[in-house]
Amino acid sequence: MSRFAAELFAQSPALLYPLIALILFFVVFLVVVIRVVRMKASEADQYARIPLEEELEVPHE
Amino acid sequence: METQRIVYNDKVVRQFIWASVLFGVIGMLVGVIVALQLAFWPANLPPLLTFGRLRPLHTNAVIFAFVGNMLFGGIYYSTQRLVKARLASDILSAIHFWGWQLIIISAVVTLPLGITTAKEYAELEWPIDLAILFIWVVFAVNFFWMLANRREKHLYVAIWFYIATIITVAVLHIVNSFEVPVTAFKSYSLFAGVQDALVQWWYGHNAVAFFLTTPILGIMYYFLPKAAERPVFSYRLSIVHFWGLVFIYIWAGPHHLLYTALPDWAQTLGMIFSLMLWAPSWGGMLNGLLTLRGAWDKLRADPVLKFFAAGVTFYGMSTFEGPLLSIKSVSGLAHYTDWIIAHVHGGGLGWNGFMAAGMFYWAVPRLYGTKLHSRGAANFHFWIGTIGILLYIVSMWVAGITQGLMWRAVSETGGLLYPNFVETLLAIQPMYWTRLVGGLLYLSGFVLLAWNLILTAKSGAAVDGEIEVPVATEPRGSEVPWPKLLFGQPIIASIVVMGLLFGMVLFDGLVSTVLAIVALMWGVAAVAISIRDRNSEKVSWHRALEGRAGIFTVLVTIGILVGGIAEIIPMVVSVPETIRTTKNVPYSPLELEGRDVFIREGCYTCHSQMIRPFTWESARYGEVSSIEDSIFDHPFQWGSRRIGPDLARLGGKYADVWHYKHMLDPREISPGSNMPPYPHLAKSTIDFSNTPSKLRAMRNVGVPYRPEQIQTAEEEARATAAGIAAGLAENARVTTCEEPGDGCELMVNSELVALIAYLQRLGRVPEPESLAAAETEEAAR
Repeated sequence: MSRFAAELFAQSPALLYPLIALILFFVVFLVVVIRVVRMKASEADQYARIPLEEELEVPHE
Repeated sequence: METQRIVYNDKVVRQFIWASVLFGVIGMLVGVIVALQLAFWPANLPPLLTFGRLRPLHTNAVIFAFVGNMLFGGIYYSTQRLVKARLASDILSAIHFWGWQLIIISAVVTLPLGITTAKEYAELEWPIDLAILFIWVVFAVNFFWMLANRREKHLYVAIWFYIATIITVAVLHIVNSFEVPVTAFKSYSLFAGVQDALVQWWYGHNAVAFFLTTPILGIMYYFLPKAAERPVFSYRLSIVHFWGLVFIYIWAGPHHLLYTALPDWAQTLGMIFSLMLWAPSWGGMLNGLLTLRGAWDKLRADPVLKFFAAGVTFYGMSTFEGPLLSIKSVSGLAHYTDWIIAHVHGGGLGWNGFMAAGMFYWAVPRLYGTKLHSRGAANFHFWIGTIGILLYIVSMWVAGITQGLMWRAVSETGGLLYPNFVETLLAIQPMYWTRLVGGLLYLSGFVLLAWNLILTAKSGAAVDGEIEVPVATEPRGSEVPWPKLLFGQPIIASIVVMGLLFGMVLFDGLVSTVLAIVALMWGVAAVAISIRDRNSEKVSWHRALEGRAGIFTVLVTIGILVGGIAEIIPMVVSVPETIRTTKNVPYSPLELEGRDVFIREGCYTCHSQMIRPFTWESARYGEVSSIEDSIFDHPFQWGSRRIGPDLARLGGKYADVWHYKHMLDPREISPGSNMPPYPHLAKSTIDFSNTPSKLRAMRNVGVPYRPEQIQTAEEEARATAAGIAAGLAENARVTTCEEPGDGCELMVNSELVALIAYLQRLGRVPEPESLAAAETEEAAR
């Protein structure tokens, strides 16, 4: 085991969890960034306009 | 093409908005009252209306009643329109609405009665906790069912924020509410001391994140483009904003516990992730503000945009201040002071309050098919609201920094410059009055909003939104199957990279380097392949995912669970070992009863029990707190605020008679104090027949009470109480009595006697017979 890992786990073996989580977070974040960079402008525009679609004019009840 | 007409359920939206307006006024009014109580102690009306009991009412009312109702209304309004589907079930919607109001009413009744778990923003007792869970499930079913019925395939980014909210709040609420009931209205937290602190602030911090932030961000991503009549500045940025927040926020809870007895590694994690939060938060803020590009001129006249622009700016300010306060050295100065109060009100009044106002001014006219009654009044509301916030925040900044500096000030000879805590309180008294003025201004603005909205509604009539959509949608069979999504290329590539990075940490030297290089190459190759496929006809993985609510929800759940589990599990694992080796012993039966009085009165809202490792702090309060000090505390009482001094090592510092007189009239002992008087505690008695069941409940959560201790708890408590009362009668000539009668000053089995027993125990371990008994038991095992 590396010295870094040995020192870390000497505090508590359970510190494995934060380590796994940290790496998981890092990788997921990378995937998201890649997705965003790849996204076509037209696709992004199309999604961004979803809230702006108009409703029907409805008279009072 | 054949079309069908969908009518949205806007009735429930209107209901939630009105409930939010009503409870907004009430919650803020209670806020003004507690602000007055701090500046002017006679505003405390014991026993029911003291600061300790009203402060939780204020926080619960504004968080769960005001913002809660607002976000339910906002989520239901926007999601129906974003997915082009009516809310799934009118019955579930009604249960959601009325159930939530019932929970609020039960909070309004129980909190002033002192029925509390003493866990901040989670004070409601176990039966109400169960009700909250039930209503939340109703909300989730109603929401996801609507998503299942959707006519718009793509889930707009606002909906992602809503999904994260629903999932995370459920997880937070369930875990933080693990408690063992003692009676119908009393429970003890399952977690001990440091565990409880970590779980509570994991909850507390993420209640801010996933109740006060993510749903409001979703609302921002819908209502801001609507009001500005232009799409969000960058949809791509919103994706990064979302995943960044979801993954980082959940880790940051320990920044509430810097310099406490929490292990260093957890504090460091909390601080680093808080600093990382700067990036996605500001990305989100800029995305919101830049949506107004080209529409700035509208800000002059349109109160809705004014509120949104200011709200988002306050979001930026609070999310700048939050990470700043999470830097350990800044926390050393700011923690326990009013600076934190300034920070939360920047977020609460500025972000939540103004976003709510903007949304109400925009939606209510549309929900009643009319125009806003008075734009002028709305603009006026904006200005007095803003001035109110500024007065509030600036006064609390000044107060907080003054407190922090006075607490740590030492003279040339090394002694404390302000050894009397009251000095530091008197110094900020003018700031308490200024804050009161700020709060009053803000409240007045909100009352104006209520008036404006009521007249708006009266000038129109309730109208439900409608839309026409094509009848036939593509058959479900054409969707990408879920295993393909769950084991898609990015996930497999990620798992491999993770494995390699992990190996890199575990091994030394050449192996580590090789693994790092392979991970890098693999990562680059995966990116290259995905870029190569960019223009192919295949639907990309994330794009497919964005259309699949179920799998999206699973991934969000994993995202929010990792941080929580990673931080909480090591603590859960380590505490039993501490209990086994500690020299501390559980509270005596009377001390435990006194502790329950302490909890009921909300003493933790003003007094911490956590001495941090600073020389000026140990000079004032005593030896630095350790994990062992609070290892038998269910719930923990570390506190988050020092309106009064820390109590961690109060035991033995003063005589019983000091405490007796201080509780009767704090100002007799400590002139200038703003603590409420508690003379009624001397007359209200404790029913010791319940004491054994309390010890039993404590044993069930892991406190090592022995069976014979539980059996004799009642007698032991009575005997200890009689001893304390006799001492007071002898040394201070207090007239004590067993039964109420003329001239009786102190009942022997009164709550005050129990409270004194508890306060005298704080920070002290009884010697030596209890220890000997524990050792005998250990040997017997």
